[in-house]
Amino acid sequence: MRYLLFIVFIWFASSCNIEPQPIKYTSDPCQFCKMTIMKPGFACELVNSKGKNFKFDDISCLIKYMKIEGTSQSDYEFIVVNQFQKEEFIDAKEGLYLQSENFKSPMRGDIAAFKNSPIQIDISDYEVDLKKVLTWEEIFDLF
Amino acid sequence: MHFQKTYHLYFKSVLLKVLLLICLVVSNIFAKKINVKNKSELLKAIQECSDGDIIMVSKGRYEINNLTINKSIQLLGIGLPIFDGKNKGEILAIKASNVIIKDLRFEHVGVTSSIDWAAIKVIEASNVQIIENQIFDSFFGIYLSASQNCLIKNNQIKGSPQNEQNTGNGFHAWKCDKIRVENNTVEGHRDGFYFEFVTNSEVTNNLSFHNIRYGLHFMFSHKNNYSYNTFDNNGAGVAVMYTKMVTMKHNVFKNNWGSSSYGILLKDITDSEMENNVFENNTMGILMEGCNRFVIKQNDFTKNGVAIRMQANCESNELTENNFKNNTFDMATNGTVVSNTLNNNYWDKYDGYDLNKDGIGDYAYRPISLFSTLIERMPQTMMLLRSFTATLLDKIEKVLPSFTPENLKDINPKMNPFLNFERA
Repeated sequence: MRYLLFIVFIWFASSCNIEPQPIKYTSDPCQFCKMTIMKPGFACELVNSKGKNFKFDDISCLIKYMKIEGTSQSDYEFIVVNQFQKEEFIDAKEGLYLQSENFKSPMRGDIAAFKNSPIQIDISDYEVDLKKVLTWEEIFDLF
Repeated sequence: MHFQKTYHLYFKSVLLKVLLLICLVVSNIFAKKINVKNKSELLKAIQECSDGDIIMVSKGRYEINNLTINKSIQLLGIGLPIFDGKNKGEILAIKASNVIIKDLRFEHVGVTSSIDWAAIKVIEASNVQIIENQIFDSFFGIYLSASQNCLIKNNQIKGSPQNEQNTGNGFHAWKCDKIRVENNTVEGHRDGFYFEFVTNSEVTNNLSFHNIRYGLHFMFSHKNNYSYNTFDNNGAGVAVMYTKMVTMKHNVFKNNWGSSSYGILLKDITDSEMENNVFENNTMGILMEGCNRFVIKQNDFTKNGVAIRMQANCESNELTENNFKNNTFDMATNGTVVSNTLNNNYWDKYDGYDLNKDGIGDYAYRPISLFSTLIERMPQTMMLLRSFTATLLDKIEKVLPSFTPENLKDINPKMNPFLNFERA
């Protein structure tokens, strides 16, 4: 009986974990622009201290949403962005960013996120200046 | 004297016409007609042709990748020849003006994540005509980039997406001006029609259905006209954003069901008009967010979950002479909607009287019910829909309004629906 209670407790505890949820592409809408999220490579997510998730289709949408809501970065437990052309969340503050019109992101924020260095990924098609790597703080001030 | 002058002018114009005719005949004499029957003949013809030539493509299957046309020619099919991309890349790229592509069938364009491969791509050209083609199983169908005065007519575009994320748009236009898109059918793509930075264009008589995301989607595309189009059963309906001076008339938006699905989503649209459209069987007919000076006139809203949802950031919009029939909720909002005008609409939920028999109800109709404001705060209360409690609450609110927005009301509600709307 005690064992069962323990399992129930664990189940309850796990169900209110504060963590980013996977995005359901082709069905989840962006919190800011209401467009259905299609491209994994630009999708990103906010998780607030209560564990509520907000999903976005473009990094520019996420930043604009934070600014319009009047929230600061410390209000969120997680700010995660997908790496460019990947379906893999990274912490936004640790990411490196490139901006180029050729990325053609859904809301034309045109920002691609990278975990370590953009050079590891083949981005030769996009004609970007690899020397102009931006940090999260610089990106945050762009929109 | 006067007679002489007009005579002189008349003579001049005739002379001009004759000269023009001679020019036309001469150019026609020099324009060659080349018949091709296989791939090597076609490639040779495209290489050796000169401006004004006509290449007639015979019936058959041609395996073609990345064929570029950079002369002003006509490429016409006889008996619908098939251009097969074998899933390896693009098929046709047009980089010259005055090109005509007609009666061809394009199949199997490859998929990549970095480049938008298309069956027909038009790059920095003008006066290109793409008429009566079929495009099946393509990543992108027709793709116009930085082009002007193009005509896209009577094409049939049908995608067959294996992986829903990796589909392109049926018709895609980017940075174009004065294009005409008429009588096309698009299904099974990401967005049926997609316009970005497209201006002064006409989109008429198209049918867009069963697309994965939107039937029609445009952003930053000012001064365009959309009329007599039908958008049916697309993943999330139609979405139009960040645009000024749009006219949408005689369109049909129907069968868009889902939690984030809209007949039409209007985000940041200003100084625009919507007339004579039909909204039928949508979870939400219209969602307006950040719209200003938008005129919604003579539309039919039938059998929608919510006919119009107007967010609090909308201002100076006008809703007149519309029919609202059999909608679960006529209107909804997330705050106090101010300075929007509602006038002279027909609401089937209006239960007032008309003592002076002028066809207009004697007291105002408030389209936002107490129950819809309640659902706004607690979505779970939806299960009380059509219950005795909910109806009672709505009745009490009608007698003693306290929660619903005070100024959102139709002061001249019609007693009978409008019947003589011009429809597509």
